[in-house]
Amino acid sequence: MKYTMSICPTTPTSAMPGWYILNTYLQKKLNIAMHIEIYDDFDAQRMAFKNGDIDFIYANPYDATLLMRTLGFSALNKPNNTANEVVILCKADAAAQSLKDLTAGVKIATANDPAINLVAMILLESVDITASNSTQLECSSFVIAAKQVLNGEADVAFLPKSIYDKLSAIIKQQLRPLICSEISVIHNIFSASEKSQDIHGDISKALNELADSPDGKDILATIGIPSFSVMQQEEAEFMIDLMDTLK
Amino acid sequence: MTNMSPEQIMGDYTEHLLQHHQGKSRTVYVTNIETPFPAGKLIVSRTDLTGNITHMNQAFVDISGYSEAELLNQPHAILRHPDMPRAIFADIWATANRGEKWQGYVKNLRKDGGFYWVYATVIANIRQGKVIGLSSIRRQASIKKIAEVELQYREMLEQEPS
Repeated sequence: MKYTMSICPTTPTSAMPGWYILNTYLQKKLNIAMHIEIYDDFDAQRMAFKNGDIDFIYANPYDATLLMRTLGFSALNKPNNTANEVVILCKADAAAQSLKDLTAGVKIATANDPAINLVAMILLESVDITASNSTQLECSSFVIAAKQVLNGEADVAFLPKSIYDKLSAIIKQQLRPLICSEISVIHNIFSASEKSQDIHGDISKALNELADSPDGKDILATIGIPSFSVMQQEEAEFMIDLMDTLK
Repeated sequence: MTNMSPEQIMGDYTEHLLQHHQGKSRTVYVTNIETPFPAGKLIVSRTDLTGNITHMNQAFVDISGYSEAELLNQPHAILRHPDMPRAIFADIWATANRGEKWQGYVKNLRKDGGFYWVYATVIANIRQGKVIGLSSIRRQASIKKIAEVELQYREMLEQEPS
């Protein structure tokens, strides 16, 4: 059987080579055939889930509900110390000094990542900014979303903290973070389809042991994850419950 | 759930007797000191089917003023503020037990008698078709919305039998 692995469409370009290397590593280690499929957007990827075209996915928490509660996927592993935190930022010389300075009509640049948008809109809700009184400019990447703010095309942008942290010092000087989420319990899940059940244990063990070998550590560094650990089903269920409360 | 002790209270306080379900009551002392919601955080807890706290995150512990050990296995009603109408809690339980999501504004009581407002979402944890407990996730509430519900809750309290 040939398996297919996929990753979140908003995975930074810098991490892509690492996922291809991980795919090759898993194929060799487990003596399996596995192809990596990258999707440009979430809609195309969700269609692939529903068509049964994906066996393994490093999914964002937003999609975990669909995968696990509707499509029968199981949670295998979780990344350690890599929560999906969100930064809402504006231009450094903008009048807004904090979230409460934002007003209705604010223009938001987003990369259309549902998990990031969900958390960011919850942060804005506390200052009465909602989808109905703001405008969203969809961008093809988070970096382009930040550029929209720098160019004055948007008032604020939503960025994953992991991407904000990697922006150059020169870019950061031109931006002002208004708030950063500290939710800590929301993170991606490496999950697997029912039809790949025969190798769930092997894949999970291989991911869990990545940090134990020099080669594995190199791969983890490239994909920006310190290590994986086995995820208990109840832990995943609880995170899905939590995401459901936020939707 | 034991009565609050005046020694734990920070600042000027008033005494209230809260009526809980099954005829239980608790004496609480409240002040007008508000603790701001921690920016960017979510407050998360879970209870079992009897309403006792089984899990909580650090933000829940921090804002409550209690220690984790003081909260674990205690009734969630330990955080109940006398400004909250009883009907709201009855609605939370009824809604969650139907497997539906409850969302609304809640004023919680801290160990030191102060308070904090949250926008809470409560859902049932359903496993293999059975409700095994409730999860409550609180986020920062809009000041404008709090002002609206304060009035509404005051009216509800006036209409509640004592």
